[in-house]
Amino acid sequence: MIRKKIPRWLAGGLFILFGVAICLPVLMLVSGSLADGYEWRQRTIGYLRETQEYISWRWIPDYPTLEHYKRLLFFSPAFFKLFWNSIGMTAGILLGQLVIAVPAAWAFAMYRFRGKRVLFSLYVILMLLPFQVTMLSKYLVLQDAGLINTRWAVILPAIFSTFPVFLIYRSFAAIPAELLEAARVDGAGEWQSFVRVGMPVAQGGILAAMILSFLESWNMMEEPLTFLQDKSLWPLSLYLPEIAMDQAGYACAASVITLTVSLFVFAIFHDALEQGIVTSGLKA
Amino acid sequence: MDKKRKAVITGFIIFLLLMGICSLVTKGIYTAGLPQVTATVPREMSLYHPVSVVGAVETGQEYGIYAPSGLRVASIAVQKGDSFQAGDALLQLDVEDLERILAEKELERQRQLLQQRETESLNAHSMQENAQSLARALEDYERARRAGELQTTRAGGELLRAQTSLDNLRKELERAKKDLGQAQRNLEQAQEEQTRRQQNAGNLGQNDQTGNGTPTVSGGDNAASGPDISALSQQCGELEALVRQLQSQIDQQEQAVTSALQAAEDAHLAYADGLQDARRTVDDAQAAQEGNYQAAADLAKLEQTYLEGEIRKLQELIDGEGWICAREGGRITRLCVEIGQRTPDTAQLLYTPDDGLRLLQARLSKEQARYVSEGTRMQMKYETVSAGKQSKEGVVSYMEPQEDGSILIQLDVTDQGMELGQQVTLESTWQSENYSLVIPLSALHQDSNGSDYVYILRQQNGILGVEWHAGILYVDVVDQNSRYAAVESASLSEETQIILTASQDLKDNAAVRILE
Repeated sequence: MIRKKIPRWLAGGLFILFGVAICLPVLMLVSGSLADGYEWRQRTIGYLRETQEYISWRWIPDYPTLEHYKRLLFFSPAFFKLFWNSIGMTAGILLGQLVIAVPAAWAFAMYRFRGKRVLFSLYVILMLLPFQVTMLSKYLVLQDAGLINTRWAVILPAIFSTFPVFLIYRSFAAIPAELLEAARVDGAGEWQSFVRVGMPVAQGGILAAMILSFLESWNMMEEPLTFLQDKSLWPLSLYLPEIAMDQAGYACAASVITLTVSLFVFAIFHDALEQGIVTSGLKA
Repeated sequence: MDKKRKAVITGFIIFLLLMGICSLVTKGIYTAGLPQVTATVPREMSLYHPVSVVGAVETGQEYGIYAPSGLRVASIAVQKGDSFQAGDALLQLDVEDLERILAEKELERQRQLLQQRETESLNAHSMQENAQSLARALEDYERARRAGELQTTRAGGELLRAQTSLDNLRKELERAKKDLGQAQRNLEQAQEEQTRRQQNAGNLGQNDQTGNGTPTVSGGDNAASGPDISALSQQCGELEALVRQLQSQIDQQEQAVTSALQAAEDAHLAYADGLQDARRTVDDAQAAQEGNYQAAADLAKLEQTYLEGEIRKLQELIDGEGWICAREGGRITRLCVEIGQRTPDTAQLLYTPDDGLRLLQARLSKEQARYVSEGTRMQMKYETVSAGKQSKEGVVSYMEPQEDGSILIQLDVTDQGMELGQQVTLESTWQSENYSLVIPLSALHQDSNGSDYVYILRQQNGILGVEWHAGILYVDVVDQNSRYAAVESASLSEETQIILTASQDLKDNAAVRILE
């Protein structure tokens, strides 16, 4: 019906327009990172003087320069310190979730035990609670555990996040019971069924959960800001707010580099992400 | 895994590798750009303040060589610093000028002599006139005295007579009043007697009419008493008239007495005034005769004597060909006159005796003077041709601030055998109290306002972790010498790391790298 009413070229044009609109912030970052300091001062002078003027924008800088990238890559040790902090935290969180969330999701999907529904409902409720609600209780627990102002204060709560469990659970639940029965008939134990059958079949869901967890971990701000007083432990997401307004070009360059990692991850795993989300969505 | 994904993964790995390499390079550049500093901590110690200054031996007592003022200097035989013995010729005055001045003085003396003689002649004449004036004044005085006494005596006699007359009148009045009183009493008695008789006669007449039918008249008794009453009444009237007359006379006489008394007082006052005027005239005449001319004569004699003394001195100078000679040995310290000038009324030459006070004088800066006080022992180092290098100890006896800001110090070296003008190096070392916070002077800085500060090391936890940062800490400098400074600050302790040297200029809160 729709295809008959809306011409193809029009639909394509609309989607391109929407796509460009969605990509506008990224394009603005790239453009802004190439503008020099003088040009940025000219753009922001009205805003900085609080004359209620907006920042004027030009897509193509008058004097394109790589000065900000040069400064960022060769004269900003703090950026790299936080970059590797983010890499480490994210890697730790993802590994932890693989160890904790995948078996938990497998258990929820495959086993029947008393209180399973209540426990899973509790998982869902916890997943729905925003960070601000659980912040104080997390802080108290971490403080009693002596983990405040350590990387584990960020990593451990993320490892035990309920969202990947929920997401992977759908993938495991979609595995046909006959397939697992066949594996058992063939002599596979519980571990072999989980590793040899469950994980390969639910690979899409697991990867989707990992990619979403990666994006969440890479961009998280509230948790490190709350639990880490030592700036040397901060992730890269907290570096940008530290940059002053008069260094907007430098901030744009830092944002581009920060974004690059996410782009690489998405580029590598976007198929699995789409497949996993579709699988989970269809079953849900 | 398709090629595209492999390429992306490869790109991601390369990206991570590049980020790793950039991390190292950035860290290296950052570290290389940090100021490299050396640090130290404050020490507890005392500071030594060496003081070294060069001074010279000066004289402590100076005397003057004088010549009469107003004479022209022909030559000066000495210079500053020259030694001389008693009797040595020091200064020569122009003999021709001396002779001219002597002639002028002589002429003046002659003129004064003539004036004196003229004055004496005038004085004698004046004295004679004064003597005559005095004699006349004395005569006038005696005359005035006699006239005054005569007038006073006369006025006194008049007063005495008036007073006597008044007293007599008052006595007569008393007697008249007594007689009048007696006459009035007699008249009253007579009138009472007559009234009684008339009453008795009335009673008898009434009785007769009642018995005989005819009245009885007693006119014989009445006729007998009538003249007595009349006479008494007349006597009383006469006496009353007398009393009134006497009272009137007394009033007149009292006025006369008052007038006489005033006349006597006037005469006495006139006598006193006249006598005083005459006395003054006599005194003036005596003073004129005794005082003025004698004082003028004495003054003229004094001037003559003084002039003769000057002439005698000039003559002595001329006899000595104008030379001024020393009375004792010594050394010239100052020439106060030049050749061709006339001598002032102050000293022409200043000298110090051979056995006089010797002072070693030097000037200290304000900074040096902080460590020297009266009583400070200082090492005196000097060198002489005969004895070579010498080193002795002296005591600062006097300090005085000078206008140029320096401080003059003096040491008594009278018995040290030093020559006048000898250059001497004075040295001393002052040890301060024990300060708790002493830092090397190179760690102390001063801003444009003159405030002292140091850079201290502080650990700061930033994005790069714990780093050392330089911080400015203002301090109060309590004391300092050429190497160290004792400082005070509430934020400074014995464990505070203070930056001693830096490879580049430091800024407040700048990250630094410590060189071990």
